Amino acid sequence: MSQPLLELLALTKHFGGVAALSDVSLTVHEHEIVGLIGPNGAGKTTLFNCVTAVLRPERGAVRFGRNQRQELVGLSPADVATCGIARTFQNIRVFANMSVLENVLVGAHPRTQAGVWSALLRSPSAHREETWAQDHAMNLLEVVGLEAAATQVASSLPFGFQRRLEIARALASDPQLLLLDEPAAGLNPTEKQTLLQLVQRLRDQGLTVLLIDHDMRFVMPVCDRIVVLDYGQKIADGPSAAIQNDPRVIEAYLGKS
Amino acid sequence: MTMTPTRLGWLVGFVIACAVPGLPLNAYHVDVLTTAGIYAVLALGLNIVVGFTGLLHLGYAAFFAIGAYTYALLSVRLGVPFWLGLVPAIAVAGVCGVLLGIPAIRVRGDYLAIVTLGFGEIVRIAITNLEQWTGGPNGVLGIAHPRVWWPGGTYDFGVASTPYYCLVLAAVLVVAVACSRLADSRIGRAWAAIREDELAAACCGVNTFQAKLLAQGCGAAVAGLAGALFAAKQGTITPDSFDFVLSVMILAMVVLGGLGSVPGAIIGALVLGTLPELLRGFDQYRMMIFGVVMILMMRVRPQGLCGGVRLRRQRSVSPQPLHVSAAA
Repeated sequence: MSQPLLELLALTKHFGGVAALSDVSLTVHEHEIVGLIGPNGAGKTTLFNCVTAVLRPERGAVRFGRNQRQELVGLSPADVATCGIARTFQNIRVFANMSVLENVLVGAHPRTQAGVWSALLRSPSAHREETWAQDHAMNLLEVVGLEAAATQVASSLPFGFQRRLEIARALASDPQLLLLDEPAAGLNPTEKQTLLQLVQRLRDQGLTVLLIDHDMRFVMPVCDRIVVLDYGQKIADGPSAAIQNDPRVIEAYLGKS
Repeated sequence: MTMTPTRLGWLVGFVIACAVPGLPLNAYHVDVLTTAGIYAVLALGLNIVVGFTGLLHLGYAAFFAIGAYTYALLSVRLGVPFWLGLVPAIAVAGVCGVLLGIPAIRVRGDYLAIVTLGFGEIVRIAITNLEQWTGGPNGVLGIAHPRVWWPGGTYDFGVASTPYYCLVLAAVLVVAVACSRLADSRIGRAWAAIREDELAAACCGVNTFQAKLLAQGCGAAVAGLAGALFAAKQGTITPDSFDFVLSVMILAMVVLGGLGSVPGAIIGALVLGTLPELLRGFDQYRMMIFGVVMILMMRVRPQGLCGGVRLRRQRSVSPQPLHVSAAA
């Protein structure tokens, strides 16, 4: 097996008296697609928020990186993004008043450098960088199949397209790890299939993916491994087939008989 | 370059603006237009903060005051000529913008508006009371007018109105080009992303702390430029020229033109800068008509004349506040 890229060690996060995450440890290896599943309120999104520094866990560590692993707890969300982790959001958060292309260009922010002066003076290096960023963004829009909508305002896109736009925006930073928070929510079966193929294609190109879903049937075919959360605790971790028959997982989903 | 409708609009506006000194207007008309031009510079600067970045600012007149007083004091005390005084006026105002930004960065939306409002009042009251430096309520008198040299003599702008009109027109043009370039750059997109969704922007790798300070600094620096122009044109400045009403007025210009729109800020400033004068014929009904126009505008075209963006309430991703790193 390839080496670990992301390691969570005993991550704990409370909201008031509710333990959203208690001692969750988890490893994601390079070029893996890991599914994070669990019933509503199991702590899946909280886990994403702790990894991307949107929330700060009370205890535990988040280590990320290929060779030397870096501690992410205590960094800002922008630093985490710059380290090579990109994410999408459960309730879509595209930049509504910006064009589709501009949305993706914002995603390329950590890969570009132009500051105020080079923008004001239109320096040759800023111009080159801008051209590169535009090409890069257009390529990604092609990858997700939105190239025809590049100049449209993001808020005018249908729901499923906005989800794809968020993925393109996340990819624009050339991340090593992509966190997808319920990417299939609200999509019709055809759109779900397209999404699955996209995720697999991205992995084949070298990306590592951690994705949240509560639809087991959706994640089973794409994921190399599945991690199940329930009430903030990790109750199972393993290959799809094993998870499907795990009595604790069945209990969490269907209740005790 | 191809001629898009936007470019054509800019060109027509520029040609009309350049033709003004040739029109049969009296000094009063030109003076009103010059003042409107200074408002346009202010509106363009505030548009960076409110329109581009979505940070509500109610104390913008403070930076205008800081720029004006910086040039005025340098001119009166040290005899610094206008062109040289522009640089410190812009720089001091810009630095003050960043300094205010640091404590204000932790508050959002309505709270930010209150902090900036307080800042605006503090600056005005401080200027009023620091009599030994600023002349207190009497203001600063005898500020040098701009002067140009060429081989063969000097020309002092004095109290004529046309030279100031040309100077202000040039300033509007420079600031407008700068704003358009910024808006259409990596920095401008980062600002817009913060305005649209700060958390998503941060997760895209935008250092929101730095970007917001930069916006505050750029906006304040533009106000500093406007302040130096104003001080040089007036020759005398007093603290009551920089009150809260002015801050609200500039904000109204930006909103009227359309938040985030560069031509919008200029048009908004022209409309609100000249409307009270155009309505002078209506005597005491003047301000009432002005109010009615504003209300109608909000009803009929809330996105502003040039169709800007609409600010939304900040939403948060979780029940807990966003963790902001101070290490940025």
